[in-house]
Amino acid sequence: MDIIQIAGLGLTATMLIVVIKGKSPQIAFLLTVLVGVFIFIFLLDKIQLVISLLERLSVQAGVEMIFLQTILKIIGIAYIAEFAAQVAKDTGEGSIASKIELAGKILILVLALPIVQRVVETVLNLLPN
Amino acid sequence: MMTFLSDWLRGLILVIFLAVILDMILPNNAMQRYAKLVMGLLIILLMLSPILKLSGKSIYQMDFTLDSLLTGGQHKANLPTLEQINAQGEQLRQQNQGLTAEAWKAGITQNVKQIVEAQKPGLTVDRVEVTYTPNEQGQPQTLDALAVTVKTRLEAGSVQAVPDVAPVVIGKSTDSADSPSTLAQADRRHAETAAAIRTQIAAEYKLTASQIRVVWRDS
Repeated sequence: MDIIQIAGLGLTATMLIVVIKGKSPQIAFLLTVLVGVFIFIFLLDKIQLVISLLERLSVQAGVEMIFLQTILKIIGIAYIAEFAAQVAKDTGEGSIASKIELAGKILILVLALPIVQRVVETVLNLLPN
Repeated sequence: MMTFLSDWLRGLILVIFLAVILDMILPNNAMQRYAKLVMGLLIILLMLSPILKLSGKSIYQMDFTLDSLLTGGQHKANLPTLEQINAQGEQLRQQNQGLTAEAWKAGITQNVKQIVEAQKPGLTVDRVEVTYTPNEQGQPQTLDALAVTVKTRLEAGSVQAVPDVAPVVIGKSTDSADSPSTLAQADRRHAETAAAIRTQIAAEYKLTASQIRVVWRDS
């Protein structure tokens, strides 16, 4: 039933925004941001469920948390950067949106740095000196 | 061998499964390529983990934080643990206490020696035993007793003159108790000197005379 709530909220907000936009575009923009945040909060519960399931699985499989942590960090960075970039795009600030996306990409790559280092070390260990 | 293989496979399958889920839930934008790159690296690392195992490292004990990368790959395993540092500190503290007590004893010995030699130039101090009460840190707190061993000073290189042979008197001896009386006299002299030394040292260290013992040693 959650999807009906979310869809209803979204459609109501859309209609309101269409009505308001002509008179005061600022309020319309604030409404957009507000609805976006609300939908995000709705989803937090479900995200929590998915994360706990993944954690349980990894514990059962005997895999330590390093991989899971890295993966979850990637998801988090991707979603937050995406959300902020969309909001910025909605207001017509395309350049700020692209900067936020750039920051997200760089942060994901920074997460990868230690992994790259390990891979390179291991491959170099394979080669004869 | 089988357990290692099954562990390895289990880890690999789980990470690939996670990668697929991640792929599904990622937002559709440029971010996806980067996330895929990181996942690919992780899977490569996990596939290489048997080789890492050969060089004695487990992939699960590795430090994947950025800080360890920035500090030049100094892994936590090389740093001493807190217990080791504490044990070292304790050891150093005990050594330090021992050294302090030794220095304190040496100072007292030197002082006693000076007192005795200034008072009785013919004597020298052989050794001084110091008894003290330590406080809770093991440092000397109060001086309990002193045992001073003294002996007659011998000048370096001096040869004791052989005493002249006493004239032999044949006949009835006038002082038959010759040697015992000389011995008793020597004892009395020793006792007097010892008492003098005791008084002097007791005054110096604010002890009672009974806490100080003077022992004669034959030179």
